[in-house]
Amino acid sequence: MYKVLRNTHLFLGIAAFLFVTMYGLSSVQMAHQTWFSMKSEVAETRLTVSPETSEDPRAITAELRRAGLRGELRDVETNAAGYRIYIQRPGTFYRIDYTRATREAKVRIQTTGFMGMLNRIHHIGGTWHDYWLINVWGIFVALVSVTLILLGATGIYLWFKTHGERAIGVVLLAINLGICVTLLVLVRTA
Amino acid sequence: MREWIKKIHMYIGLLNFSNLIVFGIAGLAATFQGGRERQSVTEPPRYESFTPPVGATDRQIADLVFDRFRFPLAGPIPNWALHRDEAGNLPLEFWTVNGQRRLLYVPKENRLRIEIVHKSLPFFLDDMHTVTDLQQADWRLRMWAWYNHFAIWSLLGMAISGVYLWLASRPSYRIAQYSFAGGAAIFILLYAATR
Repeated sequence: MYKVLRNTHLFLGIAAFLFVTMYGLSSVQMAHQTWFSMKSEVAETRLTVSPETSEDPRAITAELRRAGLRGELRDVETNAAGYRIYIQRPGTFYRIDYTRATREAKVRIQTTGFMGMLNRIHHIGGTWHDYWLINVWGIFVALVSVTLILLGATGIYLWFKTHGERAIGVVLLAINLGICVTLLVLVRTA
Repeated sequence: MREWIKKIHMYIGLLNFSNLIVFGIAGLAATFQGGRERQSVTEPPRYESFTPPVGATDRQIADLVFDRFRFPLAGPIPNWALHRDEAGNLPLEFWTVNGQRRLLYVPKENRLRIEIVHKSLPFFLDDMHTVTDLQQADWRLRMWAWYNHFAIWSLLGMAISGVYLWLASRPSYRIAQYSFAGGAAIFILLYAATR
């Protein structure tokens, strides 16, 4: 049993290494926002939507995707000239101003750097998105979440089986449970 | 050296056991959210009379409402969130990790509509895992933010020390090599494809 759980702890931990490091680094960035430059690059391009495409913003978005704008449709605003459409994937944000009269789409492309990319990946969750790649990330978010719980559980077992560390371990675990569970209960019942 | 790193890895893990579980549940909560909007339970609205001083600005009204209720864990409404709706009413939403207190000041009726939105435990833990602002007004959230900071650094420390312990003890273990290579390859491929 000990050997199986020790290997499970090892396999899960090192398989999730880059994912966990991504979560750790992006958390540091979010907790210390002045430490990192989050400057993004902005570019603009223009595309013409074909006459066969209907006026439906989803159809316009589908054509823009075929033209290379990859991402999830986030929002559509209707205005006098046409539509403002937002498409997003981690690290890249498109704002499209579509003019009905000319069928022209002015595309503003905002691209973040490495830390900005990690930040956006950190915020992915679920498999309900309309861009497949975000859903694939969502599956791994679930797997890494289960991995974290399993790492915690197997870690506790491995510690408990290390007899020489039981006394100090009980103290450290009691500190953690005492502080965290108390704070969680106090906040939840506030 | 390896023995010391192993001790540190174990001690950090024990000091962060609860946080690790909270992080895991937070990820699962986001996974099963099912859409952009979170499922929540809203109590039936109740009404209270409220008459601000004549000529009071929206900022002053928001502050009066905040002082009147002092909802636990909630802070004042920021300026950017103060906007009248089309009917001329003033929505005031007090956000907390436990849920929202949605108030609507209706000037024509001189009253407040009060709605309390409850968040389920997994979404509560999801929001708790994001609390890192050390300037929290509430001491409980401030302490939690400090512990969260500790947990973030610990997570990085455990990841790095875990890989070190593998390389220092059983570097030629095939299945471990495949695990590491597989996990890294998936991450790098996804990152590159998304970029």
